[in-house]
Amino acid sequence: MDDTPKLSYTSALVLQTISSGYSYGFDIMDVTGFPSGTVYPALRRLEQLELIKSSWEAERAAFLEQRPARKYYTLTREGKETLAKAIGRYTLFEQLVGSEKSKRR
Amino acid sequence: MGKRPLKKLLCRCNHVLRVASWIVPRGQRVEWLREWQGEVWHWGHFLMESGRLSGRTEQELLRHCWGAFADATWHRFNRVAVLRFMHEWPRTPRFCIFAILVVLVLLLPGDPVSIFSGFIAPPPYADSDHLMTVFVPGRPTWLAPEFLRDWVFQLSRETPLISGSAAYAWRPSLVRGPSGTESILSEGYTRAIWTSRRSSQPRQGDSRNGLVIMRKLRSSERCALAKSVP
Repeated sequence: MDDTPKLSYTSALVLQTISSGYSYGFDIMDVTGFPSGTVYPALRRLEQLELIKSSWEAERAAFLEQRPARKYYTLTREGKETLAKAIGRYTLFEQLVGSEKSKRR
Repeated sequence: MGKRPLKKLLCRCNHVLRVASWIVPRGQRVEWLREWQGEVWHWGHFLMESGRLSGRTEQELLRHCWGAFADATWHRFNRVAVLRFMHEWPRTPRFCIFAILVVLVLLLPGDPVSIFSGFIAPPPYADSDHLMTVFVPGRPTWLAPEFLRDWVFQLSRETPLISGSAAYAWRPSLVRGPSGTESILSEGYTRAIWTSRRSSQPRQGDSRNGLVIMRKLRSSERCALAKSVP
């Protein structure tokens, strides 16, 4: 039986955004256009499902630049598998995030 | 815009975040606040350094901070947190009884205090064994107030056991009588009459009789007519 979690459109899009290299909340909100009240709970849920993992950047690096440290999100192996299945279901958002990234560059 | 408006903006955002952080469980609060404050700091500085800090972008950032409440609520009430809470909840018999009582009080319609006072308090009418309930057989569900009044009066005259009569309608209504317009009281007045009778001291061996005629309108409504003992 397939035990990969079925993601909502929002969660799948957030996962796709992280996969595209946008690794913190502000960037994900900027790309997806979702409000913070949607993005952050989605990030928590994905982390709870172990599809993404969070890590704090090195405190020293942030201190040297005189700014607070940020929390970064990256995909886990399960996350990559789930995303591959989600792309099969939601065919359009891969293009959406991809085009957004190319526009920003 | 200079550093001062940014500092003021960050200060306002931090106030919102601090209030939202009270919702987050204590063990996660510090890290949660640190992440949000870091994001807001970076966003604010990005706006300032790129020259985009304006009234509109300030509002956007503040709106972003209000989203912290949704995130904080998720931390408190997500499925895992709720399940953990239920698992760690004390499961003693005393606690279960208390929880069931709380749920019953919350689910009971109407005023719970009056419901429980009904259980505890003595019956509102002390002479309840002298009251009779008479249903109107073969009548439609609605009777004209005048008809009810005359019917009760006639019944009490024909029956020697009844010492007096009064008619009560579901709704307060006025009927025309020989001495002018009379009012037919509603159910609420029946309780008032019962209460006043409770305070009067019945005499020893007093064999008063009474009549209560009730008409069911719906399953939850009754007492279209009542007869109180004088």
